Amino acid sequence: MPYCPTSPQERRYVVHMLIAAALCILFSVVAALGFRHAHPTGILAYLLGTLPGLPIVGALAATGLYLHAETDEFLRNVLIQSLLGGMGATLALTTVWGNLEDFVHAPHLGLTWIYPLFWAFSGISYGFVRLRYK
Amino acid sequence: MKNRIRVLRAERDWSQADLALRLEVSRQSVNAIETGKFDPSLPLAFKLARLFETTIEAIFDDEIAEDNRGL
Amino acid sequence: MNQLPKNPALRRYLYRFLIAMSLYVVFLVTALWAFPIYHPTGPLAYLLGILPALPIIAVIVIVGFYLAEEKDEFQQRVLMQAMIWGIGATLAITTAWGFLEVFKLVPQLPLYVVFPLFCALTGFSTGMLKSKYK
Repeated sequence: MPYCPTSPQERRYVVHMLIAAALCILFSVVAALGFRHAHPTGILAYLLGTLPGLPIVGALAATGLYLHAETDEFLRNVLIQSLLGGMGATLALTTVWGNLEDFVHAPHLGLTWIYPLFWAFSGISYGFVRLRYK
Repeated sequence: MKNRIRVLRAERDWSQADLALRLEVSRQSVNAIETGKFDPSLPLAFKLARLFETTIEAIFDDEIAEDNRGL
Repeated sequence: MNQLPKNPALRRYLYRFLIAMSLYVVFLVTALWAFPIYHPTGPLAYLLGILPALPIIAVIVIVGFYLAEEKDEFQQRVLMQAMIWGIGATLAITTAWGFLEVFKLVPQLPLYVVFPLFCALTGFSTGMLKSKYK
């Protein structure tokens, strides 16, 4: 099933997400190089450290904007249900992992993993939600 | 969506709470529908129409475009 | 307890939630007590480590049931919107913190804080939305 965005708001959303992904990679490289070579301290270090997170915040805002702009109630409803399912699964996983970190010294899972995990689970959840309406 | 619920309520001398009880929803829900901030689902719209012994079109007016989308 | 809500879905939710939270306390105390005394290893350690997470997963499922069972579509909508805002804010904060963690600018956060963070942010958004619909 090749994905082809049809409505203008869908197209705009895909463009926003692609820009965010590109900026995230770019900013990550900038931050990594910056820390390795320039050894920033104080406020500058925090600014540089936050840099790769900004496109993610942008991507979240773009998702919110898309949800707001989507005029197709059914599609919006399916997406919202998928996101809620995705978050449920993400929270279940982080809770289990957090306990294992504490009790059996499982390796620390960085908080940056939560965002991609959420989308992966939302994708799976989307499949299940679509099945309900088949 | 713009609607005549307030008028219909007043004709029967019902408070928002009275209507909420009859619709089996919360008072906030009635208020949100009445003020046009929340569009009811088709089943709830039918329930409203039946309760006021009229049609959905006689209660709701979709001619005036209002931004009621999404979040 | 004479202030029980009349709404049956909400009442069921409260009962289930209270049972799950009681189990959470019992399981957490069990794990905290057993680890330093018996030093379990292998699968038993994992089992005991996961134990306190199970009631939290149950709470996630219970919230899902409540959303599905809530007959008042407006209340359902408000909660869903609040959760969408909660998801966005949680992901933004955890991702930003995650990157700062990567560059060693902030301490590592245990993953089990994600669930209470999400609950707090969702609660906050519920308040904001309720005042918007007033």
